[in-house]
Amino acid sequence: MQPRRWIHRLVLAGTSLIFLVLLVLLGFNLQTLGMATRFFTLDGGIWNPTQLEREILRLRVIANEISMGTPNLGNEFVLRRNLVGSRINVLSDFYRVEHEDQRSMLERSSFEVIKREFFTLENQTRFNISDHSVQALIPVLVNMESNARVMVNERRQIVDRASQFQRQSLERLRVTLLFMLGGILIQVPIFFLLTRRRFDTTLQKAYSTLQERSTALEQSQRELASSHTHAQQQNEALQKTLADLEHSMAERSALQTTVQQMQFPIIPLRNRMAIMPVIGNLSAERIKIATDSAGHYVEAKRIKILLFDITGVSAIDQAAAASMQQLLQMLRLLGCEPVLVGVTPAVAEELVHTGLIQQNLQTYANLQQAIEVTAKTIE
Amino acid sequence: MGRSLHTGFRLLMVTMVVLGSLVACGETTIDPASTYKVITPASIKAGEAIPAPNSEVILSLSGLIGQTNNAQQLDFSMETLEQLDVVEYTLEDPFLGRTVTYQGVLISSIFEAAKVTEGAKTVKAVALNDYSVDIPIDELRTMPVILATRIDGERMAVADKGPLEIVFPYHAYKLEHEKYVGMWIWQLRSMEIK
Repeated sequence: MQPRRWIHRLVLAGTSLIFLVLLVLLGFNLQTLGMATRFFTLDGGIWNPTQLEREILRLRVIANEISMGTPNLGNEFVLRRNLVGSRINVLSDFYRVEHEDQRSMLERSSFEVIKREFFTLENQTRFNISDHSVQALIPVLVNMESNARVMVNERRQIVDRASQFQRQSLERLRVTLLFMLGGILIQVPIFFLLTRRRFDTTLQKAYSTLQERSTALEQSQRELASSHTHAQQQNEALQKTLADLEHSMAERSALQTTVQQMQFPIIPLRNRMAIMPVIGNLSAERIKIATDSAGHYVEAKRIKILLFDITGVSAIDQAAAASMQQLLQMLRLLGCEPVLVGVTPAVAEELVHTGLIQQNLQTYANLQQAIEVTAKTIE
Repeated sequence: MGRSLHTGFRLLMVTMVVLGSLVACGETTIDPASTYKVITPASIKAGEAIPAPNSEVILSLSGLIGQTNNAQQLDFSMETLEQLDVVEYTLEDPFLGRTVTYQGVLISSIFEAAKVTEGAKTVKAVALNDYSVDIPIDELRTMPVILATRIDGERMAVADKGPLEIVFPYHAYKLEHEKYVGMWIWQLRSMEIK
């Protein structure tokens, strides 16, 4: 493909060069055609020399008649002589106005002879026009006439040459135009081919660019989809983590409940009796846990006597004592009799101080005694 | 704002084109009287009789004329001819190649004096050397064409294309020389109105 394109450009440049040369030739032909056309105008053709020859002939006719003795032709002679002079002046003006002497040397010399002879004739007939003087001028007139004929013939040949030149110019013009037309016929398809090639190349480039952009777009879409999938996976992982966390929290809550329940275990004894060993310092919060645990258990198992073994309690503050009092009242409302076992002196002092003892609360020093006494009560 | 400016510009351009076309298409009317200068007013008014010449006859009119002084034709000597309006104008003579001032009589004045009939179409102008040319009479009536009797103030001899020469007002009208070159007749001797 590349060599053909190179050849096309070479042909285009070559034909353009030829086209330029043809244009120059065309201009040259048009110019020469214009120059030749000047010889076909009224004054540029054979008109003026012919008129001059005609006037000289007329003057010679009058001169002949005068020389043969015909009377009263003086004025006519003067008129005809002046007309010859006028035609000479017209020709002189024409050659001067044209600014370029289109005459041949022969025509030019003939015209100079005519002017010189006319000057002689005019001088010799200025004051005296007789048959003798006019007869003496007949050779002058004959010479003028022959020179005028030379002028006419010469001018005719010039015009003929101009005509031939015009025909040749027209022929050259025709050939030039034909070559130009041929050049156009060659150039247009090549130009079309080159333009189409250039257009195709541009189109291909545009298509390639479009494909690249399309590929990049697809890549971006794929990356976006991948990112989306990754985000979804992260989201799922996050949700799973959250679920695990919630599950852990639930387990932790259950464990906490179990742990809380384990703080205050209730051990069933015989005949709907149970015992709750209490260990460590008693606070209001712990007593509240104990209240919940004991309440649920008493209601579920329909316990009649619940022994609180506080042997492991070292101390109880005032707030805890108040909570303890509430616990005991709740149990009685549920139909269960609370019994305190293993009261230490410090705890006893605090219980007395809070007024707990005044509510007919049964207390025992140790667990064995408490079980034996309360068992008998139930039996 | 931009749209109205654009519309205004288009309107201006259209107006200019229309005005330009009107100016280009319109014919420039030239007042013939403004193209020449009157040197001697007419002493023979239009319609008055033209006396037969006592001196040399330099111009004879014949054909479709309403006034004669010599059988069927109207003869003028230089004196009687110059008793009509004598005017002058200056122009570039295409044959002499220089600027000259021609003095002479308006051919339209000669026609009025000769009472050329309305139906006349052509003037056959004949020169001393028997050259002749037909000139449309409208060309001679609508333009201030003169029958020159003087060039640069001097009489014209036969050798200088005299004594009479038809001169067209090249200075005031755009006239194609190729068309008028044959009508620019010198050494005029007679005119036949047809």
